[in-house]
Amino acid sequence: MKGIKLEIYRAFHNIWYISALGISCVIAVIHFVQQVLPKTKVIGVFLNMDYPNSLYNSCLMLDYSSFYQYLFYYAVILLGTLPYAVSYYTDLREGYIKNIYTKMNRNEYLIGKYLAVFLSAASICLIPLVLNVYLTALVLPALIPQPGTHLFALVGRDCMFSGVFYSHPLVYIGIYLLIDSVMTGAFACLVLVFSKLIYNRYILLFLPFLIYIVMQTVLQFTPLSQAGPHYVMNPIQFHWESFGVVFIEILLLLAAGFFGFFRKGGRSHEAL
Amino acid sequence: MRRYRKWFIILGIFIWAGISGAMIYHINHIFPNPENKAICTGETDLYKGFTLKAGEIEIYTWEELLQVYPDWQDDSFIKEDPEMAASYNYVIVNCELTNNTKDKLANSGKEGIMNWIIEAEEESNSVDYMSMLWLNKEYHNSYEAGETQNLKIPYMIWEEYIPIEELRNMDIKVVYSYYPTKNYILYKAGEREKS
Repeated sequence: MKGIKLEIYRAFHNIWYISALGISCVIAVIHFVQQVLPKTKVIGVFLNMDYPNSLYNSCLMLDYSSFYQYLFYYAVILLGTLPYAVSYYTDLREGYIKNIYTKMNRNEYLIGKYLAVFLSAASICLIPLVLNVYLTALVLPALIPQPGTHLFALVGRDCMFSGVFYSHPLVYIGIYLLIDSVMTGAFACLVLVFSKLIYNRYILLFLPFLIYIVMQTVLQFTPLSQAGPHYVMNPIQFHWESFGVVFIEILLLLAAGFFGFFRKGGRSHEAL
Repeated sequence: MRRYRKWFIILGIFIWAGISGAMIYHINHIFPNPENKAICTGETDLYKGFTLKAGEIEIYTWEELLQVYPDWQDDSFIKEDPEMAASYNYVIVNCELTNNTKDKLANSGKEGIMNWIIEAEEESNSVDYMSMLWLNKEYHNSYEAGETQNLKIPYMIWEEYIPIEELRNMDIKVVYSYYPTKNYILYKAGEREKS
């Protein structure tokens, strides 16, 4: 338990975590200032068939016409790896791991490492999104989405959780906060899998982002286009998602990260 | 001062929560969620100087539509692509609009009948303009005082979005106002005769 707590402490108390969190929060705040605040000048409508701007089509997650939405869902993968993803690599290469193994249980260290990387990356995604929703809720009303207005991201009932979005939109936001955090954490943990194989920290840092881009680019031109990670993470659902695809993809990423690291990159490490 | 740091932090959190709660309450109090106002078949509503009386709903596949309206093929859209026409389901809403005022009134623009929206769960569509003009050959958008028009408002819903059997067994709304009240004609699945 001590090892797990130590790793989590190291993950959340370093300059890279603060920097990455700062950058992602800056994107969220700039979106609020540039996209949301101008909408508050005129919130009401003049015609009965119009519908006012709502929290649920203006916040970063659901603003389908915004550059910052697009930017965030690509940048967050890169920012999630910054805080702690290469820590296992540095522990190995600098010999610090020998110190650790004399003082704590190896399993504890490995599980703590995985949890620390996952949680730090997940929080880099979660905190700015929550901040943006909070700021938007202060200035725009939480008007329930109406399908016929065509002002809301989800079009049609074939979208995943469309019934939830049009009846309990806050629950829909909560679901996607969970999906986005888990996906960001899972991608960051892929660095742990390759830490033993790659001898360059900068390649390791960019590796999850590269995998993300390649997966998205390749999958979007196949019948499995809804499995593209950008489509999976994006609450706007450019491509109608299905729960099965999202669930399986998350499971596969988590399994690849955990077992790839724990069995091959960690437990079978020969340096000691 | 350091002794009271914890209490200052707690106080700060309470103040922040209070201000946030007040702001969120304020904006949602000024712009609340629209109140739903529904009328069913046979009921009336006052709408921009008109009395709207909701009539029956008709739901057809393409083949059924041609049996009821055999001349529908004369519509130019159908002539161009009959195969595409067959991939839709057709909803026709009957209603009656009466000008209750002493003046001539227009029913046009974004709030006119041509922009009423059909909603079936999360699917929606607007009026099929060409079919509207074909079905209502004497339609005009200005009403003299006391004038009544009986109208048939056609909508098309793609069969792949909502199959015909599901469409006949779900609630359908025809919306003519979204805010500040959501006014619509409601056709409940269990309360209408299957077309």
